[in-house]
Amino acid sequence: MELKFRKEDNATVLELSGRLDTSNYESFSEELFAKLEAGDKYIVMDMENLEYISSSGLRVFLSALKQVRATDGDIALCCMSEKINEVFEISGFSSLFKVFVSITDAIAE
Amino acid sequence: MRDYFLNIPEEVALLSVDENGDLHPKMNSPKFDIIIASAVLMDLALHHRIDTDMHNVIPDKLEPLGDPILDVIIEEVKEYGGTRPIQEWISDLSMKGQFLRDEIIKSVVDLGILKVENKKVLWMFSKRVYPMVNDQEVKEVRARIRDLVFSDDIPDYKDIVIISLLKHADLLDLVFTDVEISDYEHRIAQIAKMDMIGLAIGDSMDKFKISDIKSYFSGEEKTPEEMLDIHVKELKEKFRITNDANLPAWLRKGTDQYAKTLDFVREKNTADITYNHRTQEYQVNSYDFNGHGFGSGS
Repeated sequence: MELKFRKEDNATVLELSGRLDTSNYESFSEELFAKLEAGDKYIVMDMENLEYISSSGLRVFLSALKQVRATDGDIALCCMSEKINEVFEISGFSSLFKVFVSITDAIAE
Repeated sequence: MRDYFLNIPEEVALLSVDENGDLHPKMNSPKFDIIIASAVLMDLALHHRIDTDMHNVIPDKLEPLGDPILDVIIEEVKEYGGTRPIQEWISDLSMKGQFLRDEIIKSVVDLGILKVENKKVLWMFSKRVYPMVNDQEVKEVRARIRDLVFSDDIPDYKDIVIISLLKHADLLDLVFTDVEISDYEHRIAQIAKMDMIGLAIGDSMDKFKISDIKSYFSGEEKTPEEMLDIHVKELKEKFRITNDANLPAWLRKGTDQYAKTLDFVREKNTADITYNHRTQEYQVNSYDFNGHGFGSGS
């Protein structure tokens, strides 16, 4: 999986691509939590090119959301493919996050 | 030595003990094997020994946890070696239901949370009960689950799986009143589906065909081979195993272990038995948690 961070307004946009699974959830978690520890409170996950997510990946999302909400921040999800959206819908995770169809909408929120 | 006090199957078992030391009747059902099996898988996921997606269990870090119950299963995942459908793992582990129940109760007794007592019923019959010695842990679990459901908090993974297990086992009344279950139905359902194994339990339960297992094993006019054939057939049907290669060695014809199983069936005149992978001993199923760890059944 490839991770790219960039700043847009007061949000940190995180581009995820490829597979988020057993082989890389730890490094994903480390990088994401490093941003949270550094004080980034508004995270936008750009998931347009994310192809697969396992439960371990979902759990990183859950832990990060818990931490960021404790500091009045938030995590928004955007641009999910049909397949990834299905995972978030079936598992009920989409009810925890704000989900947007475009980066612009997510950042505006 | 494990670095946590209670594992998930132990927490669920403790929740089911009432103030008299009686276990909830639903926990004595063979159907509850699916719940125990799922609890074990969820605990392995919690400790990153396995990962899951919508369909499969994927091996992760397969080092032992120092937990006798979970380590046996970690070894099995290691032996299996690759990705496997969640349903198949639930089926496979459900067949070890009696072993897992006995180990869970033994473990919480060893931890000093429950004790074992024989209680007289109607002045004649003896019944095994498990009075709580230290109810601090179970009070904490119950309070934690209630607080989560009554709030909008983001759940921890451990609480997700406990709520999922209680819901699928129809044991929410261990933690909530009927009114609370009704009032918070949506919140409970929302949390319960946040785990892939939890989603698979629902499927397993829906397709589970309950036939009174005991009725199959009366043994009248049947040879040990016939009794064992019926037992294996029943387990295959119950856990939807279509390939004999997926049966454990003790139930798979042609293995040395199968011959030993047959000897035990012959000796006990019943095929309603299970095999304890840790002690490598057979026992007759008891369905009342009075298992091998406490000296009955074998």
